Amino acid sequence: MYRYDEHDATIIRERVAQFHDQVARRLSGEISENEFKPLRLQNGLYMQLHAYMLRVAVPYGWLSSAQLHRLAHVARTWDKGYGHLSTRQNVQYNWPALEDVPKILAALAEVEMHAVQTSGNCIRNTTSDHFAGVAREELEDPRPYCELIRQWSTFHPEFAALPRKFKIAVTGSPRDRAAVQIHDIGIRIVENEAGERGFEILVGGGLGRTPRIARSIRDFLPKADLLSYLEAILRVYNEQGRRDNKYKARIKILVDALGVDAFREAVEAEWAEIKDGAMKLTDEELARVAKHFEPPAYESLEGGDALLAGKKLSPNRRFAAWLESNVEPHKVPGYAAVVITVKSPGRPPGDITADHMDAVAELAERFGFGEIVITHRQNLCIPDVRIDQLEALWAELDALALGEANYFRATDIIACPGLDYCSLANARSIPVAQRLTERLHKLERLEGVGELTINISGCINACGHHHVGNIGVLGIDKQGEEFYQLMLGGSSAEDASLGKILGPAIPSDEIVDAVDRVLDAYLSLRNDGERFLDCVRRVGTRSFKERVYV
Amino acid sequence: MHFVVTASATKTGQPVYRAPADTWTERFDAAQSFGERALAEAALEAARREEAVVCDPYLIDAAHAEIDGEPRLRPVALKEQIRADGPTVALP
Ligand code: SF4
Repeated sequence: MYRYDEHDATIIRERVAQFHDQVARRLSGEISENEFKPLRLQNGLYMQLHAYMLRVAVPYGWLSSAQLHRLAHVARTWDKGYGHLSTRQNVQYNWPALEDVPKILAALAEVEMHAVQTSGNCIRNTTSDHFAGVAREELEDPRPYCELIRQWSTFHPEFAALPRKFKIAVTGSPRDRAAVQIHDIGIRIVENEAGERGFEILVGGGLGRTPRIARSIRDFLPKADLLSYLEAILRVYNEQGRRDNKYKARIKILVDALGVDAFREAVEAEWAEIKDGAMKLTDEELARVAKHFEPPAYESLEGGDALLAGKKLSPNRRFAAWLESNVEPHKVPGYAAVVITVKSPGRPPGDITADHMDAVAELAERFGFGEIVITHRQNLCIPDVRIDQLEALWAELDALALGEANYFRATDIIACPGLDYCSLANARSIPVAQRLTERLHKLERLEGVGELTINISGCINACGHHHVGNIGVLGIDKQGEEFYQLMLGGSSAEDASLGKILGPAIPSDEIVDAVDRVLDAYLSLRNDGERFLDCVRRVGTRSFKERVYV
Repeated sequence: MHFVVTASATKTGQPVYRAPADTWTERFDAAQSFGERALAEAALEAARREEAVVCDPYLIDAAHAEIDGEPRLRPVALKEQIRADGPTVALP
């Protein structure tokens, strides 16, 4: 993984010292909240309902075990003993005291971490596939390009005050686990007819009030031109994006307003001016970054796929189910990638205790190469585990109550903080996720239903990505009462689509029954082996509506 | 309807409520309530001058509700009830 050079280390150290001073001035009353707010936001510090919230950047979700141990230490020392995994593959702390935040940032800087650009109208943490570098079907590891984007966008002076926040995702695999089509810029590594590697560039995806699937503006961009082309897109957006209305300020609105062809022309015209300048990526520069992502020292192992298939016949049904749902084929024979779902009954989705962070970090050292990835669905992944050690790993995870077999199953729920924490919320998300998990967590039900995503947001801002859940749940406020709207048919994968509203909003105490009826409807409507999403697409929402609104 | 002045404590971000004698309390039931909007607005104006101690003061609606057989002042909006009581889900 990428290691800081002296320049990175210095700039982050200086930033911590600067924020230390700003916090001291705020606490002494020398500066007002109005003056302090933009400063704290630049350092990832929000104000929520009960306390400050600090969002720590985890570039494309990748962590060393030392970094995860440090995150655990922060949770234990300065927060309430836990952290929250976000859909941007970051970590959030819900309870830090203001005077402790500089200490937290100093502790993080020691392990090459920070909270810069995790908030505000700037380019946020670039996200990626949690199986980057190991997915069998992957064309090329996207992490070096994510890292190049991180270096280009961090403290980029021209893009420090964009019309609105800006999110970029990169996938190197045709299977999209990075949700690139719902990003301001989505990047796919592709191969052209001449067999050269480059990028397809998509723009204008996003959720919120105006959900949009991103549109492709370039089928093939040579690797050397990645940063200059991104710069051209950002310049067009920075100049022409709306600043008069925050709900119309994202790039998707500009792409809508101009039309995708006119937007593309504007970008290409801007790019023509800069493409052969200093931002051209040389082979040496690409190699400099790529060397940080060289594969670890894999052993030569025999019998990979056959061994995994054999283990799936294990008489231990829970272990066999976990292999089926949480273990992904690896590009290196004899290895597998493992998802540790941080979703189980009674636990807020994505919340992980300091003890569990430490335990997972140790397991990553013992069973992997000391690396852990935070996934877009608020889980953790150990990307390189020997297949012959999967059972031993699962036994340890199971003893920690982290061995649930539910990755991409009905209880692998994305939920935003909702009204329990968020000042913008209309309704609670976490209790709905917990009630659904309580209802659906039995192995028979999970296995019976199979692949399914449920995403819950507490308001139209859609941080819980409800539009692209196979089942989306949106909290709304009806005269002070919590109601929930159901959507069916969304996806953030390569077959991305926006869910369709099923019918009138449902009161809080009926929403779990309603989702259960959606699943019963699916089981009665599906063809053999048909996924929930494919079933909804084939039969339409009406057949579901008839069975849900009884 | 009653009104209460609330804000977030600068040190912790914790919800605080204006209490008698121009103090702040973390307990909603120790807050000063105002039966008239004009009085509440005057208290809000005074609170705004305490920017070092609190952030972004504002007024919330409150009403009496029967709790454990006794009438108690409670925030009207669910969001403010959760702010006053803490998250409705157990911390992990
Ligand atoms: S979706 Fe709404 S309620 Fe949920 S975290 Fe985002 S802003 Fe808050």
